[in-house]
Amino acid sequence: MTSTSLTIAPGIYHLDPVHSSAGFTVRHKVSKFRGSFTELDGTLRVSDAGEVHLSGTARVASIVVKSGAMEADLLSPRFFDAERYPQISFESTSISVAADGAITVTGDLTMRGHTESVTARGSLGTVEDDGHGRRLVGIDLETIVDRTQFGISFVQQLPGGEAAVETDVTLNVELEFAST
Amino acid sequence: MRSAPERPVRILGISGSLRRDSYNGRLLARAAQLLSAEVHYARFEQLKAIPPFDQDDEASPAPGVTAWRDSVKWADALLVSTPEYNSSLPGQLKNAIDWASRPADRPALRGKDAAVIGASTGMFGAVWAQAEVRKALAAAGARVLDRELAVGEAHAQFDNNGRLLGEALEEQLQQIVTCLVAEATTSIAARRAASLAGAP
Repeated sequence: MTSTSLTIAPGIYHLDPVHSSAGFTVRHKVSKFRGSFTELDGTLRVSDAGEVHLSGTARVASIVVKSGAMEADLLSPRFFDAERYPQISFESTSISVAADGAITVTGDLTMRGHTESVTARGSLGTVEDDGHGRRLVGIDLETIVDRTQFGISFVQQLPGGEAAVETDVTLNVELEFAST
Repeated sequence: MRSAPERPVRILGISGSLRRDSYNGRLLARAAQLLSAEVHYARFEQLKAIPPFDQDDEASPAPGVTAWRDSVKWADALLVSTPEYNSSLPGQLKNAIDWASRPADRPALRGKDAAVIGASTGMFGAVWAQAEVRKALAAAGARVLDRELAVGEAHAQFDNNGRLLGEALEEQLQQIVTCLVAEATTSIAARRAASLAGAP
């Protein structure tokens, strides 16, 4: 991400879903298992006073992992229960950006009907003109959540007693916002 | 507030006991009486006609399997009443769950709401069997209520009209069926909202 300035001009910025991604990583037995959600929406609002507010959603049914059967299982009540809870949403409550672009975002993450406050850290960068006259804001964030707090309590033990799927899940987003 | 579904909630009752006058059959009958009048209730009676699960038979399943899967698909929610054999659920009931958990990409049980109750002539009211049934249903993709109803010493628990003699048991059973219908209503509304939103 090319950063030319950390000052974000006031205004409303909309998520560019093509240049954004949202994924999760969870330890499965011995390796890291990854998945993502392809259908994203989001808005970044910057007030005249420079306060930044971030909100976004992911459509649960847009989950992608490397097996169609596993996707169906993940959408079932065993995991995300997409029929009941079709959307994952996030609404920031406080955002701070340091001079070097380090960003800390705290907000309410709602998943499977449970809302928990989470804090994610990452980096922010801006481009004043993307060649089409739009300002861009890029934000990368990472946080770790306990999936059981969101009602995803799947448990399976290996013969040695280890959990087959860890309860801690790393969430990553790489977001690109463009001014309107 | 829950929105009213466009059609009546459909509940399928299944007794894990094959015996004609089983206590679990009686418990299901009592549960059916406690359902509100607008709920459609049907009891699946052909558990014995479901052959043992065999993946080789999946391409052309026996009529008993088709009838069972069609019944599950018809229902919004399942109410399973199980006895306990050797500290676990009856094999015939597990076999039916196994058939309804296949094929893996579109199992009949996936997304169905379910509640499990149980009766036994012993003291404990089939609590271990109920736990096993909940576990198997959840693994098959059902949304299972985290509740149980343990009717122990079942031979002495029903009056001549099929009611449970213990008030606490009657109340628990009423709560479970009410909760199951509420969950099914929520699921129907969620499916309707998804279809209106154009989701697959």
